[in-house]
Amino acid sequence: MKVKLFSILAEEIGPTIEVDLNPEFYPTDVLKSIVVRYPDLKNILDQSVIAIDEEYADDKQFSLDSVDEIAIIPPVSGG
Amino acid sequence: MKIEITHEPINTEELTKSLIHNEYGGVDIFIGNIRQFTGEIETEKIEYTTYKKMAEKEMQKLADKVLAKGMDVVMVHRVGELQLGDIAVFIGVAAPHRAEAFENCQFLIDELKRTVPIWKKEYDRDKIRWGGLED
Repeated sequence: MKVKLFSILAEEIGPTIEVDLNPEFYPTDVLKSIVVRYPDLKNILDQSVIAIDEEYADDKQFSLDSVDEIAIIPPVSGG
Repeated sequence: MKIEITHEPINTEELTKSLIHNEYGGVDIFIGNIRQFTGEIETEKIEYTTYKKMAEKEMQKLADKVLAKGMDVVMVHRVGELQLGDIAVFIGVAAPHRAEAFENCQFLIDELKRTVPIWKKEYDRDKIRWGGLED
């Protein structure tokens, strides 16, 4: 599954990252999988949350089949 | 009602005029611009990026809460590279009376800063800082 990245994560990794997810997954699985590959970014990923189909995702199980878009949202800082 | 994320300069006069209606007696406006000094730290420019589709959805959710109370709302955020003094955000609420206008305008800017996926990369004289991120 291609995951969208923004802000500092997009600068460090790129605009997207391919992540292998189980057919049933938790949003935190996405973050854990990237921490393994980018341990230097752990602090940033620990402060980030997941959006699924443009909505902040609760920490519940999702089915990959029913998901169109996953994004990682680092701490926001608009305004 | 207007919700927008734009690369273009924010036209405050036009947005303010759009909030003047006969049924509302009070309009409160918050304008956020690029500040030069934060304590000792001197900022040179700020680059804003966004997850536009989600950001506009989140802004709409916030606006809907205020619209449901019978007020009018304008929320516009600029993204891209902004220089000192440039306007980054315009929030306006028109309400029958001033107390509701003040209260809901503050609600919208506070919540925008907390929930809307927009990010600032601050180019300070000493180094680059990413807004919201803890070391």
